[in-house]
Amino acid sequence: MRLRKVLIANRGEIALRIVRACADEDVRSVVATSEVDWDSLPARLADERVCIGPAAAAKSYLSVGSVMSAAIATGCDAIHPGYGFLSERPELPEACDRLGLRFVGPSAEAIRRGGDKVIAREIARAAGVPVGGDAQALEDSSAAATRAQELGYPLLIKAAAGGGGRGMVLVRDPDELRSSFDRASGEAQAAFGDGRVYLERYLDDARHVEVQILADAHGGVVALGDRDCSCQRRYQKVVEEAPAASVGDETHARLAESARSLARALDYVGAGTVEFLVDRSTQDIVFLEMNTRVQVEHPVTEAVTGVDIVREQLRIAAGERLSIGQEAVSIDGHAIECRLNAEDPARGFAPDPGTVQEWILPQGDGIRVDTHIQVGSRIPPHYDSLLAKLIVHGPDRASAIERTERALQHLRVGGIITNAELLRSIVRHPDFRADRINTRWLEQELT
Amino acid sequence: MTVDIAYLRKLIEAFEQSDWDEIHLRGEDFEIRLSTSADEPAAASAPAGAAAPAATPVATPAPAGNGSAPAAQAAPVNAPAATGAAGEPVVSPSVGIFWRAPSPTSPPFVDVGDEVTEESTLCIVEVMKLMTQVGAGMSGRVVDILVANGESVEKGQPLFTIQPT
Repeated sequence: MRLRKVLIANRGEIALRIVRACADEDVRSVVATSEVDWDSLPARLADERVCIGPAAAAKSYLSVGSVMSAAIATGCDAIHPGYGFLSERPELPEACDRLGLRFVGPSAEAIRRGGDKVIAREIARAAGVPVGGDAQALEDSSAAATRAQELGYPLLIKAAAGGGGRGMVLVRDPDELRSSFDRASGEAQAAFGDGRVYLERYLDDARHVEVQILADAHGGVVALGDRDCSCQRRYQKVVEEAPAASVGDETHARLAESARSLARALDYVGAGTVEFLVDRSTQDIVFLEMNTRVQVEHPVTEAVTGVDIVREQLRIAAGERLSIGQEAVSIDGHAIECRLNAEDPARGFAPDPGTVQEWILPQGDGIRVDTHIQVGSRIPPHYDSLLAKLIVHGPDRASAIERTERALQHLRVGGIITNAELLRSIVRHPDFRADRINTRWLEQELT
Repeated sequence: MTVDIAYLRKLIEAFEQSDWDEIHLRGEDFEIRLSTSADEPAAASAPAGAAAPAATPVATPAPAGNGSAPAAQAAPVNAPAATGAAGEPVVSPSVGIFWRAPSPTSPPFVDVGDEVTEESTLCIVEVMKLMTQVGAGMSGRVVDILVANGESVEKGQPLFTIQPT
């Protein structure tokens, strides 16, 4: 059944990205906004807009009742959650099921199982995906000590309900494990209301590589190649690339097959990402986690595959088949995404809200900018600091880097402080150009 | 667009069967409020666009060498006229959201009448998901809390008044 009208329960560049996909699919779009976002670009460019609450996200973008009410009042037949906010909360698809709306995303069950690190690891291991460590929560610190001895140090203690680097402690020996275990569990309990923790192998010199998955309700599961997101700071990705150029053909194939196996084991329907670490010397792969939503960095995959991931999400939600089969997926050239944030690297990356006075975007062949910003935009302090994503596509990695460097030179932002200069330093750096970085490189080398 | 009456019926039905306590929607030419309490729902918080200019940045220092505006400088901008409580202000370090407690379920860091020391945490100012704790920086007694929990604040805006001891 075709979708007629979609409520977009998000803000910023991703809300506008979904508005575009709706227009391309001939579906009407309604953007749900908070009071401060009423005049934002996505709200103005959507077919309709509806204000669902005050600036504080808890009373607008994070309120299931407000989002559902807006969808019903405006006659929508589906809700797209974007990323962040309610996108990985099973309560939203549950409410959609109850009230007869479609959720553009996986089932509540798949979000629950995929989002719980311990359950996801157990499913991954059963599906033959290497998990590097345990797939079970630990009873107490003595059980942890016994397991750690078997697995070997160094290890990470991670929260079952954690994510994005939160609730994670590195331990290098039994003493550190003993002194950290109860604290890690306590912090997990405080932060997530769930004190379960598990042990994961710690790779000192690894790359973050993830696989984009699309799965429809007819059994079609496609891996759209991989992305390298090793350039990160405090587990926040800064520069992403597709494909992961540093891994060999055999590893590409192993990653893709592992991700497809996991999606099948979860009965997954929708777009998702399976994250791995790849050891730089051995090329061993280790499953990290599954993200059950569209990712910020999805455009690099779109650039090299020619597949519109958000349009595919809408097709999947309408019960249609994927427009592409696995054998038809091919990778064309190389793409790089830079995240432009309103933050000041000179002051410990402190966020810098304010009003944008100057906003000049790069242009040219192979250059795409996804943004909700315009001159005069007031960056509210209530949400994250992402201003724009610069996505550059070229025939190979070297030319994509050249183009990215030129594009960053042409980018002019005034009135607020951004990380633009850091992005320039990254793409100019010999280590980045030679592709010899790991997940800790950015913090050690440039920040 | 206007709201289709059939959609409105469906919304009211959904609301009655839910655990949502208050819904306030505003479109181009409609406004819907649903509330479980019989009273008029509390006034919606003002849009941040309106709140910002209202917050007088009283602690912002006057531009140096600005001799052309003596009247403005002479104005007693630092007097907490609205409250009348005497004491030293503690101001917001940045623009952000003012939180009186470390989490929605925790008790506030301080209340009016509490004794504080230099190290006491008074509140959190959240800016783009970054939480900054604001300390008292002096010993004394909290005599006034000038901002409501969850409201937007500007850099330099007074948050608390403390009577130093």
